Amino acid sequence: MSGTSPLPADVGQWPSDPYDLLGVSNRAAPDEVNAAHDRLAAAFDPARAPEQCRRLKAARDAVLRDLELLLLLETPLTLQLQPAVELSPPRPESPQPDDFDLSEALRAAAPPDAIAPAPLPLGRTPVIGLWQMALTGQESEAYRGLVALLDRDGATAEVCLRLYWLLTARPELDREHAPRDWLVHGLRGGELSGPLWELYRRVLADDADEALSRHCAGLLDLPAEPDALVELALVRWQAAVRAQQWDVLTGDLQALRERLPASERLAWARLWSGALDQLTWSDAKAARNLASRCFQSLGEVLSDSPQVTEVRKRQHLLRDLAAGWRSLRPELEAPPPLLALIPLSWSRPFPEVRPKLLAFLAEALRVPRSFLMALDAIQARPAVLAQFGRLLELLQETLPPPPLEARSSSDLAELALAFLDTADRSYYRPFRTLLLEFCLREAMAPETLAELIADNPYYWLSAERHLSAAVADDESLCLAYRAHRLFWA
Amino acid sequence: MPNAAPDPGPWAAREVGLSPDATRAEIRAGLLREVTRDGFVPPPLRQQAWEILSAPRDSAPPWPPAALLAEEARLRGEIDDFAASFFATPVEVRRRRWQELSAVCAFSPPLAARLAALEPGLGLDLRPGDIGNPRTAQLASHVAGLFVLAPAARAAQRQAVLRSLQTDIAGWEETARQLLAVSPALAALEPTLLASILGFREQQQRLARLREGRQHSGRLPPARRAVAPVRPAPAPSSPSAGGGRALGWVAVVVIGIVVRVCIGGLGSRSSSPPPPQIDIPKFDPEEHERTRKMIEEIERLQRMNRENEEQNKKRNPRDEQERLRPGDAGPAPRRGP
Repeated sequence: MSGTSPLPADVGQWPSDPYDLLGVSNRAAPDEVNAAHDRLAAAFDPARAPEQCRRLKAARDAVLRDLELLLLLETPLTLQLQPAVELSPPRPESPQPDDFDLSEALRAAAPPDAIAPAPLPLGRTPVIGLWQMALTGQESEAYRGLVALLDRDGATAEVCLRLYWLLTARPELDREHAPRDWLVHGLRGGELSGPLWELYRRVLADDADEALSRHCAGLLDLPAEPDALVELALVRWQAAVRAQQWDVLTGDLQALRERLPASERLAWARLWSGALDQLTWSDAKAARNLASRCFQSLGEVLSDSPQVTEVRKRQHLLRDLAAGWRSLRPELEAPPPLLALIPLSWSRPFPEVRPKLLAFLAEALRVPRSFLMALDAIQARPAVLAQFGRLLELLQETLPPPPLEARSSSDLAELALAFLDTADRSYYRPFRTLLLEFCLREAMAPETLAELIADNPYYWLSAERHLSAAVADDESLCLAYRAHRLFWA
Repeated sequence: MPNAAPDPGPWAAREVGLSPDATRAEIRAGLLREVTRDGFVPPPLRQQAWEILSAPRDSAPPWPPAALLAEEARLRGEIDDFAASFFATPVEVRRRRWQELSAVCAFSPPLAARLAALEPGLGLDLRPGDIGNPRTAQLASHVAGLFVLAPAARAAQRQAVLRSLQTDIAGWEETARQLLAVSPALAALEPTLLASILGFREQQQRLARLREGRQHSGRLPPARRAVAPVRPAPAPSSPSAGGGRALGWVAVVVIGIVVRVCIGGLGSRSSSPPPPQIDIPKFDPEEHERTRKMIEEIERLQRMNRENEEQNKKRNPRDEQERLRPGDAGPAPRRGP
């Protein structure tokens, strides 16, 4: 034994608990831990007592890791979330009873042949101790311990979150439950906010069956901010319309009438509008009836606030678009895959629509002339053509920025004029297919060509109309070119 | 519909910083450690990566759309690299790499299309000695360089190449013909360039004539000078309209007779137009030009006549609506002298 150290020389006699070994509490600051280590290690010469030095260092590292973990776990979870996620202030944690016996809980939860859990430092928060067990590979014991805690103290966010992730990591730990069940369990014990709600929102976005489940419907009764209720309802309705379960909408609206006062005008406007976004495209009679009631209700929301006005404007736009879309469906010239994109573009997030749009473009752009004719077929419904244009804008945002034009204006003008002066421009309609082919071949936007010839006196189509104006106004032509350019970006 | 995306496992492993070969135990340990660091609410994409890695092999969740987008961008870069060294890569290696890329890019129509566009060049081994003289090899190099570019870059580069060849365009015409003869498969990779070289002088001559004609006339096109539309739709009952129509028919008949005489003079007794002249030494440009102009004039008069007929005889509301559809600005005024 060293003359100045309180520790015996035989490491076998040292406490196994790193806290006991260093003589620090589980609330010690890192500086205190380092100081304790340095004081004890000073008594041993690393050359003569390497094992003692290694044990002390291992104990220091373990305690520091522990403290770091503790710090992480005690940090309010809101600090770790994405900036866009708004959470209500963290609720006070359930007080942990001082007399809670973790080993008893583990014994109760463990099957008879289970391996005995590793001893935990005394006096530490059980949740943290159990989670540390999970981190050291004892996932099964940790899971059972957390379930036992839940049974004893009721659902708390910190326990349910850990159960969710443990079951995600090892689904075989519990064949009776899916990870999301723990989120719902935790939410039922509280409100629609916080990390549990954030994770559950993500589940709902990808799982229509979960959105339509009864336990999800039950969450509409929870205390919640209006925005959270609206969000929950909208995600359920999206799934319901796809499954044609109209009663889900009527049932939810009934529940929401009791939850959301009429004074929540923006929330109600968003609800009616969200229902219309989905219902408008359905051909089912029940959906059409429900849609007209929603539209009427939206009109009855008494508010002049800019947000509500904006919601109303958007719905009028939707009405025009849907009317145009319906009138085009019997048209033979309007390609069904293009028409199928329109409702999706309105009611689904773009990342979901993008693969379908690209698949359509891959087929349509094989024969640019036919694609132009297809766009001509929908040109009579400007709202539909404009929506296709919006889809292309969204596509552009997902692509690398276009390379800078390497050619000068005079290079482009030379190309354009050579084409125009040798092409048959007697009639605009046949000419524009040649123009599209030229634009695609030379990678020159029709709008660019229009600008280049705007002041040229030789390109008047009639006394009133210059070719540049005809080209610039030719939305089908411009969109056909843009679609091609984006596809081949 | 796009084909199935490749296995998302490697992407998910990259996203969370694990090796693609990580064991289930390593994945579990990594997940629990990292979600703790992320405060139990990791960023959505990372969460989806963990879910993909943790799911049983037979029920892995699909690619998150945002991840698919990132994968598409990554593969686009790989295709660009592949294209950049396309002809420098030995044929066998090139073909194998193309097949690998085609397999993993099948989910993305634009990437699949870009690879499909490269397919015609897969088997071509560009060895200068096989192509001919250095000049032909130089043109072949231009063709190969353009072929591997995406359409927008190709268009810009093609114009630059054409500009560089203009100083000796007659010589390059000959070279283009040689390239077509010695390596038609290579020439077919960039037909636009070769067509532009071969047609350059003729196009320039046509343009020069047209622009010279404009200068000599010293006038602006009729539509610019006119106060009223150039060709207003004549009223059905108008005597002048009927007279114009009759005049059009007379012109068609007279010019038709003249053309027949001309064609007969060239030795053809068939009633169908003669096949296009391709025998350059026997070709008489002046005669050809005269004939071509006459044919154009006939076509113009026939079009005018058809238009008059459409407007006067078959006029009904639907036709009228069709004629006035947005975007159809109607016929252009007569061009040039």
